[in-house]
Amino acid sequence: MFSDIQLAFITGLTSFLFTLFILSYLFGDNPVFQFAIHAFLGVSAGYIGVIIIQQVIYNKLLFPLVTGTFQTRLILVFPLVMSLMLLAKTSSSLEWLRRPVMALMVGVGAATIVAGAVIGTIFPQVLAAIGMFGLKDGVSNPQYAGSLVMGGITLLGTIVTLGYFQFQRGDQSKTPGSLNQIFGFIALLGQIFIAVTLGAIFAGVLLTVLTALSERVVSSLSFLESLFSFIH
Amino acid sequence: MAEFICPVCGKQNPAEAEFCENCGAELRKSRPESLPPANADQTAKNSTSPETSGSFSPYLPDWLNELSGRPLDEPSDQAENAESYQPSNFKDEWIDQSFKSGSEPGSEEPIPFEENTEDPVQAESFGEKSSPGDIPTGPDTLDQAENTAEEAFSGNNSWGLSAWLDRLQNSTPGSQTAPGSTRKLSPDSFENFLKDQESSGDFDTEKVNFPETLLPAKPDEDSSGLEELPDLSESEPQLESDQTAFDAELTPGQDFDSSAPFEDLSDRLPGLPEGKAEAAEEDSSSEPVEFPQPDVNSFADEIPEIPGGISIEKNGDSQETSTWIPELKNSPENRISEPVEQASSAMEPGSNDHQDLTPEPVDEQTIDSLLSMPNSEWIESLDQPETEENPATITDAQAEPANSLPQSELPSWVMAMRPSDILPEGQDAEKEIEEVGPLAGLHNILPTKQDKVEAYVPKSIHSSLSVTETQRVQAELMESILSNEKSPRFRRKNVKSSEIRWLRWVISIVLLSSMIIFAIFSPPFFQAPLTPTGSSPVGMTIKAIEAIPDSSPVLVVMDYQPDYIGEMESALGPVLNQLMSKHARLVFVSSTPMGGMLTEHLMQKLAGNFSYEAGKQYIYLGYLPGGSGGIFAFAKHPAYILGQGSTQENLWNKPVLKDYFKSGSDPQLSDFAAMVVSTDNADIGRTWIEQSGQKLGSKPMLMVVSAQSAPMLSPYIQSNQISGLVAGLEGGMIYNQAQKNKSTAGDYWDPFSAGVLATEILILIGAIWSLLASRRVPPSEIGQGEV
Repeated sequence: MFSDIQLAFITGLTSFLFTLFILSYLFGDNPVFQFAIHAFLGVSAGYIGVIIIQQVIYNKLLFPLVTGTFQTRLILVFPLVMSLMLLAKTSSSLEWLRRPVMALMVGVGAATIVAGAVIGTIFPQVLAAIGMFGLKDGVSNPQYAGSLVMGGITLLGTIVTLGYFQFQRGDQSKTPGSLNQIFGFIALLGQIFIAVTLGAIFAGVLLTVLTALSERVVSSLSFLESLFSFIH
Repeated sequence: MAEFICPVCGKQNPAEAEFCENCGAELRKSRPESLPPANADQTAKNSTSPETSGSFSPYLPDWLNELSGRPLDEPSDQAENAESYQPSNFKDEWIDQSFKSGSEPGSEEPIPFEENTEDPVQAESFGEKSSPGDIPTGPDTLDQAENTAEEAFSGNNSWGLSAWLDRLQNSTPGSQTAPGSTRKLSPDSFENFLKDQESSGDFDTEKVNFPETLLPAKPDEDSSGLEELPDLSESEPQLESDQTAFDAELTPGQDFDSSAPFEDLSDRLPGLPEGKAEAAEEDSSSEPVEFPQPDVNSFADEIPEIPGGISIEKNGDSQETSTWIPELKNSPENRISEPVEQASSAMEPGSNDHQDLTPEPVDEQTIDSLLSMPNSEWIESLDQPETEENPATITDAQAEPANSLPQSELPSWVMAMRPSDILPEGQDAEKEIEEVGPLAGLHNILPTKQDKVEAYVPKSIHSSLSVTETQRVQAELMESILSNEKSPRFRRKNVKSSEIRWLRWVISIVLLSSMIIFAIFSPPFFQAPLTPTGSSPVGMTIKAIEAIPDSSPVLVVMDYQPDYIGEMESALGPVLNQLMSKHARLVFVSSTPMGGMLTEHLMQKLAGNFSYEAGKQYIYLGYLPGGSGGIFAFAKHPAYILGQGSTQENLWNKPVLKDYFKSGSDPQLSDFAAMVVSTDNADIGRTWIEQSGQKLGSKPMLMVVSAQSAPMLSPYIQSNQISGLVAGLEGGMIYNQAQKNKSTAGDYWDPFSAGVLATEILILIGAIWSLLASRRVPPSEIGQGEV
């Protein structure tokens, strides 16, 4: 129906226009910006819906339920019933039907996340933090000094960051002044480490945004260049 | 030979001996056979009568019953009385001692009224009622009347009392008892006695010394002896009236002056029949007889102190006695002895005087009870006029010479009990006298008056609160909080939209202009990043991919959003180029619905370079729903969770996979040569690491993430959970530099670098602007704005 050039032009033009529509937000909220937002949301939702219906409901539930074996059908009855129970949320009188299904989903999801976090994050990270001090390789490791420094910084950062969140404070009149100063210093170091961490995250977000903007700029310029080339 | 045992020393003496050969004590009184038969009969008659003797036992106090040595209600007879009089039956040794000390040979003289003191009962009964002293010898009838009356009153077993009374009487000069004399108690005998006395002229009133309390009270000075006593007439009107009637019959035509006692009696007998009372008054006032006043105090003082035994009160009244005597007299069993009592009353002007000599236990409690006895009533009676009811008596009493009788001396404790207005002359009343209340007239009763009351200034109570410092601070804090609540709250002043729009335009123009300029002209201003080392995340990724065998299946997770497509494709593109250069079988999965689209978009750019076709060199298994649970299930059973195409074909049977995964087998995650996770979300990348890391085994897990997720996933490189990390455009650019490949990353690098530079400049300018702005605005205005 469309040639590749035509298809590329239409895609490039649509991309360029929607980019301009989004950049129109410099003038504030305007209909062009709203149109671009609704277009993106609509297309995304439609696409997601189609994907879910096709790849989840039809491929994984309805088709096996019709064409599968008895065992497969018997097993698929449970997800089917629970899916219908979830639809009961639309009715206030039947809203209670979805609660067991939601409870099952939340429970299974929480258990999975907790187990994965403990096994896949906490224990390995603790072992890694200990390993930074070179206890395994010892002085024989040529990078022992650097590893030891990194381990010390990591440990210090961990301690002072936790110390910053020590919001429990006793009676000022009963707490010695020196102790208050120590806690204040720890909190200050914790603030520094937290600021560095948040700065790094903010820098990554900024780089991501600038990368996206650069991509849009380069794409728009490429479209215009192609357009001008086509005109000429 | 009959012998008689001395009651004092216990020695045997001849029966006819009058005094003890050993100690000299008088034996005739103690001898039972000395009692005359007639009198014994009379006494036996009276004593055996239940109305006279034994019947009094229930009404007697315990101490008297104990003294009698007989159980209550036991009928008495003369024999028992005689035996009870034996010294061996004395229960109190002090009485014996009193006998010893006072019974000296030759010291006893007969007394007129104790001629027949052989009758111990009569003698001791008289001793209770009458006072020993200079009583002239009178007729036997009077003694009989006295003794019989006392016997009837006190019972015939008051041997303990009679002993010391005998001693007292015997110690009185001229009180020698005529042996063998009998006593016959009858009104006539008493009358005859009075007549004989009058006729013989032996009845000298001056010689008859009755106790002061027995004599008519002197209205002007000494009437306390009578008036201090409790008023018994109200509780025993019948008894008193009968007594007065008997007195009226006893004394007509005689010179016996009993006006004062009768007057007092009539005053204290409001319920007395009028005829009898008048007769008694007339008789008593017709011819006054003055009895010699016995020295009560003298003989009372001679009485040894009785430890817990019997007490003799001279002018006071015993509370205990006053309670049991009315009961005794009001009992119907006592009716038969009323004449005897009347006779004794006739002899005792102070009808209550016999109680003064009534033995009673003396101890501190008794004295305390006496002192604490409610005496307001009888004290009030002192103030009442006595002459209203019996003016004749008053006249007679007033007619008495004031100094006809010597005054008796009251004990000190009795004097202390006396109201101040009746204190004897010469004794100054103390200043502090209770004027009101039940203790009116008494002194030294209550602490008094203003001079003993400590004056003090009452503590002023201030209306203001006294609070501690802590409470004050807390109150001030609460007050400040409340004041803040009352005051209008300010909010930060809104920044005008024009200012934001202006700043927005400036930033946009700076960024876009810089990017556009560097994108159009591409000046060699920004150099490409250095080649990564082997220990860098990108270098580790390159090494891991290089270690993958050729044409090995590699799982690629496409979990980024379309808005990050430029960055992710710039980072993922170089990785996929290296994999495709090794003819790796790319198996794409995604936990987001957009994964399929992104996969097709990326592969359209890259597949052309390596002749990759969908289903042959690469394949998209589909959307993996369920979040972390779906990822966990996929890591455990990849073929069961994904692999069903839109045409219901098994994607695992596609050519791209069938060479590695046999049909019908259960492929595992570890069967893939490597796993590349591309995501712009650190949480999704951590979920893949946590849920599928262990299932992957020793196979490398590579991460291609956006720049914003790199800081959160970098620690997993340190823990060796991931084998390499490519982050953002910079990572892709580094990867290209290492692979010496040209990709889209190089196209974005210059505008990206320009944009980063412009952003840094803007941040710096903004920081300086903010610093300067903060100095211009006073600190007091910071945070305040419009209402």
